Amino acid sequence: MEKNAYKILRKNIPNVRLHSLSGQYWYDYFGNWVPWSGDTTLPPQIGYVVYNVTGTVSVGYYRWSGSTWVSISKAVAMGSYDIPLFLESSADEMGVMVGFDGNMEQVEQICNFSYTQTGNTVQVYNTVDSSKVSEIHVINFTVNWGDGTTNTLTTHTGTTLNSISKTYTTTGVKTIAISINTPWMDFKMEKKVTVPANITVADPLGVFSGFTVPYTTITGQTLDYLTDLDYTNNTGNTIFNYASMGKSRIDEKKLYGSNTYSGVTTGTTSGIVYSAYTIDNLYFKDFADGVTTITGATSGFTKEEVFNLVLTRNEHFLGFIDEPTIYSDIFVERGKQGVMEKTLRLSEIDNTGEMEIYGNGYFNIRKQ
Amino acid sequence: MAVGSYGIIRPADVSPEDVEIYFHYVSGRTSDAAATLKRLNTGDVLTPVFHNANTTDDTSAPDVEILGGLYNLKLTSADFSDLGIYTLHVRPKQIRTTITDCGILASLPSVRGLVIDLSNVPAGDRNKFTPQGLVGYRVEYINSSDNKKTSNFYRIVTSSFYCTPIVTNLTSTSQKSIRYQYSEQATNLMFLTVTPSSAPSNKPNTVPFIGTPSQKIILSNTYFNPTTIEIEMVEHDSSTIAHALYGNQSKAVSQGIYTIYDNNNNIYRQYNLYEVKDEFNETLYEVREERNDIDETLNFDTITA
Repeated sequence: MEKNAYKILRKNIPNVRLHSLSGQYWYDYFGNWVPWSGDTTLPPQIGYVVYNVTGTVSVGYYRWSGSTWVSISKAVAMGSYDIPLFLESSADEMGVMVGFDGNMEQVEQICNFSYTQTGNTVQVYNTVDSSKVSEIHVINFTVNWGDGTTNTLTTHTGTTLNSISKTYTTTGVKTIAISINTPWMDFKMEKKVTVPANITVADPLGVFSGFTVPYTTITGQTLDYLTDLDYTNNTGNTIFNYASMGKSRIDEKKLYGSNTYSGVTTGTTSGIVYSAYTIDNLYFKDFADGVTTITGATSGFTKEEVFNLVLTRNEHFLGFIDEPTIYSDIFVERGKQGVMEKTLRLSEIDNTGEMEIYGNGYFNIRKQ
Repeated sequence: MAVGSYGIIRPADVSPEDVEIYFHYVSGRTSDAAATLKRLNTGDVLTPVFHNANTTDDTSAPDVEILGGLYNLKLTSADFSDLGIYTLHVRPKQIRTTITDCGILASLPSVRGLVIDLSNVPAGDRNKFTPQGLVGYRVEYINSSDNKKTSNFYRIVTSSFYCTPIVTNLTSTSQKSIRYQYSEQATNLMFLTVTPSSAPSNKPNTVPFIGTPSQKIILSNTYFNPTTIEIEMVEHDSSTIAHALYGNQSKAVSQGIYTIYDNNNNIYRQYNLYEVKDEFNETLYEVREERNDIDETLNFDTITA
């Protein structure tokens, strides 16, 4: 911190003895009245400030107005002092930012799959694009269906994903895994798929039937992302409504707010009492039997599900010890878990130094 | 890596409302009186210097655009009237509030931050609590046990956004956890990410302290570097000494008044001249004594007219 020092000369105000507030006299040394000259250039000039020390006029500061002495405060008599002040700030590097040209795609997805499900039949698609993963050309992936059976699934070479299906004879949660063994590492991806006992869902609001998970068709648009990797020419978008079963969020209606619930309506559907409310543009209905239905609508949903978002970065200032040292190729496998998830998200990392801080340390960089 | 010379000092363009000025007074260097700080109203005493027609060719800038760095500090005699030393401390304004919660984002559980309830912020400071409005602010902490500020410890705000709480089920437990999600709309809660908040790579299990719920904190901006100004209020400077040495003077012989005039022939000082004698009329001392009231009849222009 700098230190600035100034010396300021305190204003010099003469001590005098005033004869009266209007009398144009001074007391001289002998206490006699002496009229001052009528010459306006001689004191007191207009604005002349004195301090009356004694006499018939009260002690204090006075300023000559041209015809009378006007009593003023000490603050007015002494005035104010102006000094210059220079304020500066220090600019320093507060993080790292990397230029980004807006091109985002996932280029090194080693082991992943997507699936469709119709009833108890699950079809697994190998989503690895061998044309973009230089290290993988035609490799046999092993699909473990979770019931003790396996199949082989190869990578695709064109624009159509290779797939294989399985019809389960039993219901319940199945852990489907896809795996490969490579010279550098073994990869495996697991997803849990529920084989329903009855694909018709009984619901007070109506009947859900024939759902194919995930959706392949939305209103007005044909969504063919499962078998078409081309995402560059799809420009259409639409809004579609959806309904789902979920968890009650009514507790949130009261958090950090008033002590009473607000915006909650009640009613009866098919003899079941419900409480309804809206959070985040989703309409929730909590039924008395414990079921909560959620309905809503998407807004401007783009069918190819490629989201080009602005690169964001949580700045880090401290804590860097050293840069990672790379001795071999690094493969990042980060699969897609659901249809709403963004698939293209890793290529904003253009060097391994960034990878350490990407995603708030999501990836651990190891030295070898 | 490149090596080069570059400056990191920039003229501050901080608004006076973001500045705090305190001062204290002592009568001299040897004064042992306790320093009692007083606060100045920066809106009254601190004025930025603006561009004029001589400083820029931009016709829209004069009297509107701040020049940067240069300010005028007005010291009123109501506070600065006594001879002695005044020490002014100019620093960024501080905002005091409490931490409502130390939470994480529901969608990014690795992002930890402070949640501030705006109702706990002084009304005059809430305008700073806008999305990204607190970036760069410094957070300092008050120890709740002894109300002392934690020394040599602070965090820097890296982002601030409105947020809303949501309830999230914890894995393998019936308990629920409050997490937060950003809100585009203005809410009463603000989520502040700070740095450092993540563990260093060489000791990943040590998460930096960022605060505890209900803990008092001090938020201060970092718009400029604090500075100290020492002002010595003096009775004489070189110009007034020059009056005594080189200025016009007069001596009223019969009255024994010695007068010194300034460069405008105003009476600057007046003295009585007299002798102290003993009972034998022998002069013991010649005395020059400053008068406590000025005889204005000895105005230089009057007596030389």
